[in-house]
This record gives sequence, structure tokens and C-alpha cells, in this order.
Amino acid sequence: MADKNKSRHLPGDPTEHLIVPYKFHIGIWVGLIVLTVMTVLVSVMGLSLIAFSVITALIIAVTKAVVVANYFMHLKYDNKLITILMGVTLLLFVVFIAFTAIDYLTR
Amino acid sequence: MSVALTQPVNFYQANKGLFSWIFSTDHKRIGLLYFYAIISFFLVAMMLGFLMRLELISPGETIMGAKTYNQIFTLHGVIMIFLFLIPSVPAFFGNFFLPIMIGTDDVAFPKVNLLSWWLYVLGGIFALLTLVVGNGPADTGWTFYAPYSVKTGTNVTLAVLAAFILGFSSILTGLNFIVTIHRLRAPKMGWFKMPLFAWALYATAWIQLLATPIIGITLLMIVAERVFGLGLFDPALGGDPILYQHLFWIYSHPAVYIMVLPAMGLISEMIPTFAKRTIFGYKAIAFSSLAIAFIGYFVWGHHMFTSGMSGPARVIFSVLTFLVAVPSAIKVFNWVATLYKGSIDVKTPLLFSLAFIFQFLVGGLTGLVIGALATDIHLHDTYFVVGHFHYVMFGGAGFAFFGALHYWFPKIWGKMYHEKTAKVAFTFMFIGFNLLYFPMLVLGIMGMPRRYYDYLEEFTTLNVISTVGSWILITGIILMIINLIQSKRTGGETTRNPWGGTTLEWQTPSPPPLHNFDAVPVVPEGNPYDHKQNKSI
Repeated sequence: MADKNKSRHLPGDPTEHLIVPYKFHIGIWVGLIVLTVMTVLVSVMGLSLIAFSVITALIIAVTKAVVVANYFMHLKYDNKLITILMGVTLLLFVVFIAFTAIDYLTR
Repeated sequence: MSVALTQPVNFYQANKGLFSWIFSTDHKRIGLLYFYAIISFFLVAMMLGFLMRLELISPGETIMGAKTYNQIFTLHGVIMIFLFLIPSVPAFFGNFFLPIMIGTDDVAFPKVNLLSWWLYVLGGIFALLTLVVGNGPADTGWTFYAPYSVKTGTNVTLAVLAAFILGFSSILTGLNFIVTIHRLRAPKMGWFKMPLFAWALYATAWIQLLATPIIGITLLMIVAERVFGLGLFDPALGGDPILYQHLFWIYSHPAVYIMVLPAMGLISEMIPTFAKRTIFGYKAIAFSSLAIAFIGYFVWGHHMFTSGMSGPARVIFSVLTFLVAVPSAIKVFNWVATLYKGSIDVKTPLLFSLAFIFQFLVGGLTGLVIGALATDIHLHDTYFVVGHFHYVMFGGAGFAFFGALHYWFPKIWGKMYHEKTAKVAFTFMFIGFNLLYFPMLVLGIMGMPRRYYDYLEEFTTLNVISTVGSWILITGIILMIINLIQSKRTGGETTRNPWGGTTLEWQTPSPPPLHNFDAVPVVPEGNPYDHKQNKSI
């Protein structure tokens, strides 16, 4: 990955694009498939507790989302600012759910 | 001919005909398309407000009954919020000036920009259709609160769809501005060289992009509830009406900042120009825009203190509400500090800006009164709230809009407006506005509830004052509009930079050429409002 970072384009310069080899993308894709298979296995095998399988499925889903955002959507190679903005967006989403939940749980 | 050779063709002359306007992808033309649509809707909603005030001139039924009154205040609210306030500053001034102010030739996605105007028109048509089909316009208030909005026989579905479509228009404008500011700034235009109006639009655009989808889904839930009886908000079916209020205000509170933040950006442009002085606390104003946009997401519950929300939730929302006052106050202090020791040139845009500061202060401070839990119990759903939000929305955002209309009038239309008439119109508007809305604050404290066509005898005097105020205000607005139309025809010639402004739009001819500049714009060194460097004065 170190050599790839060298070709990272300058912030605000849309003319220069990072080129990631196909092999790398296929590797990521295979990884995602493996994670999907894991999700299916966890639910099919019904590993004892429902909570356990739900939590596992959520962890796998989050991992997949992070991988897709970082590699397929190039968040990792782009300006750090974009990652921060993405983080703020997620934070706000959590706030919406959490604050509404505070009302419900304490009513 | 020599004039034709030296003067570049401006964007009006570049193309002719109706289609060259309604299918134009030029940000300036789209901005103007928005302007003519927005100002038309404003006048319609203003007349509805006039009728409401006329009904309230005396107790009992004066010119309309309860149902008509309910429908009129709903339509007044829906048009003023979704068709005037939300698009007003970003979609008109933002579209017209953002690309010029950051030194580029258009927004990032010109076709998406045109699409957003068409969506706006479609949404407007849907809103107007509620007048003529079915059982008439919705009578729910602009908030469409469940369970009443699910049960009423009026055209709620159509009105809600109108708001849904208008939401998409707003999202696309926001998206366009974010990408434009990130990607299309002129080479030397760093983040902290941007005019503060661009900063305000940037903060606003994030709210438009992130918050608007929530109202979209929520309004569709109302439609689903009406059509399929899903039971999302109906307690009899296991739903929760307070959930609707949460979902509605998660969007609609940040939406308040969609309305006022860009207006604050306009004030930050006008004050340094007419004080002939560098703005005080540039970075503080820029960051306070972001802070208002950010904190604005955390305070929606303050609209729901009396709804039956839980005690701990109320306390949290009340505390957070007081936090929003901090960045708002930072701006006000900085504007006042900018005026201090400036060589002030009292022109109409400055008068509107000063009125903004005064009226926004009244609106902001009354906001704190209803942001406190105990006082809100007394004042909720009274005329105090109506007075408060009109002070912020009209006294703030509306006055900033009209101020900027004068400020950029020579740039947009290439003529100078008649200053004396403009000042007379402003005086009428300022006096009329305060006569109209200040009595509402007093009436609210006395206990007069909002959203009724009738009231008790003891409220008569203040209601008469308020109604007379509405006549003075409308006189001022009509005078202002006639003056601007006249000025467009017969106004004096203007130059590139009639006010001695320092931002990039003053480097281009008035009106600007098709691609915005006739020469490469020079981004000033240092602070964008440095009047010492400005040699064009």
C-alpha cells in the first residue's frame, strides 16, 4: 500500500486519479463474499442466542460497509476532509436515533 | 460601436427567447428563474397573511369562518416556509452569486441545477392544486401534525406531496453547492479567502443535504397512514403521535437554519461594505456558521416540550437549545464590532442589515424565553411563539433578503435603484413590521392562543394595532417592489463596483457576462474584506 500512497492525488485536483489494480479490487470483492457467507452461516446455524447472531450479523455488516466505503468508494485515498464529513454524517444519524430513544426509554 | 467592442455581451444578451431561460443551465439565469417564482409565491402568501390579520381585526367572525381561517394559515405557512424562505436566499442569491464569488463560471452540476428549479415549479403547482381540487387546502397547519393530518378530509396528501417534491429541489441545490465549493474555487481562493456568504451557504448546504431526506420519508409516512392505515402514528393501532413530531422536527428545526443561516451570510457581506472596514472576526463568523448548522441538529425537541415527551428528554433538549444561542451571538457581536469606527455609508442595504440585527435580536432573545422549560409551558401555542418566529424568519431572513436585493440590484440588473424611494419603503416596512409583530409577543404573554379565528374581547386593542401594522408593512413592500421595477427600467447607470465592495462579484461588469468574468479575477491577498487594499473605491 505504501507505493500506492505516493500516487494519491492532491486535494482539490480532480484531474489526477489514483489507479488501483483490478486484482486488488477482486481481492476485496472475494473478501466481501466471504463475509456474506459468514452472515448466512451464522443465521442458518442459529448459533444459540438470537442476540449473538444479530450482533455478529451487524458487526459483519459494518465491516463490509467500511471496506466498501474505503476501497470501492475511494474514501481511503481521498482527502481526509471527506472522511471527517462522512464521520459527522454518521454521528448525526446516531444522534437522531439516540435522542429519540432517550424520550421513549424514559417516558 | 466602440462601446460594443469594449463591453462584453452580458448574460441577458447572450441568448434570447423563453426556452433560453426555462431550459438554461446558466446559474445566473436559474437564479433569476427562482427569484421570479419565489417573489410571486411570497406575494400570494403575503396576501393570505393580510386576510388573516383582517379576520383578526375584531373578535368573532369578521370575514371568514373557522375552517377557512385554518386553511388560510396552513397555506400561508406552507408557501412561506417551503416556497419562499427555504429556497429564497440559497436558490436565488446562492445560485447567482456563489460561483462568481468563488471565481468560477458555473456550479458543479448545471443540469442538476436546472432540474432543481423544475422540481420547485412542480412542487409549487402541487401546492396550488390543493386550492382547486377535492375539499380544499389542508387545515392542519404547516406542521401536518398526526393524528389530525391523518384524519382530516382536506387535501393533506396533495400538500404533503408538494412539500416532498420541494424537498428534492432543496437537496439538489445543497448537493450542488457542496461540490461547487469543494471543487470549483478559483486557484488562489483558499477556504479562508472565501466570502462569508459562501461559508454560510456551505453550512446551509449540509443541512439541506442531510436533513431534508428525513422530512421526505416522514411526509410519505403520513400519506401511507392516510391511504393504507398503517398505524404508525395512531395510538389505536399501536402507533405513536409523538413519533411524528420527533421525525418532523428532526428536519424542521435544522430547516430553520436553512432559512436564517444564508441570511446571516448576506448580512456579513453588506456590513463590511457599508462600514468600509474589514469584517471583525472573519474566522469566528465562518466557524459559527458551521457550529449553528451542527448544533441545530441536536435541539429539535424544544418544539415538543408540551407534547408529552419524557422529562429527561425535555431537560436535555432545553440545555442544548441554549447552546445554539452562543454561535448566533458571536455573529451579532462581530457585526456590531465591524460597524465600530467604520466610515459608515447609510444606504438602503445597510438599513435592512441594521433592522436585521435588531429584529433578529428580539427573535433570538424571545427564543430563549420559550427554550426554557418553565416559561414554555405558559407560552407554548400562544401568540408569543408566532411573534417570536416572525421576528426571526421575516424580521431576520426576510429583511436580509430584501436588503440583499438592493445590495446586488445594480449587479444583477445593471441599473441603480432609486435610493430615496427605497429608504421610504424601508421605513414603512420597519415600522409596519414591528407594529404587526410586537403586539403578538404581548398578546402571547396575556394568554391569547394561536391558530384561532376568534379571541376574547380583552385582546381587541392589540389585535387592531397588529392589523394596522400589517397594512403599513404591505404598503412598504409594494412600494419597494414598484421602486425596484421602476429602477430596472429607468434607474441610473451603474459601474462594476458602485459600493466599493471587496469580493469578486464586484470585479466583473454589471450585469456579468455569460461566463461571469471578462478578465481573470484577482483574488485579494489576506482577508477577503480588506478595504485598505481595495483600490477600486
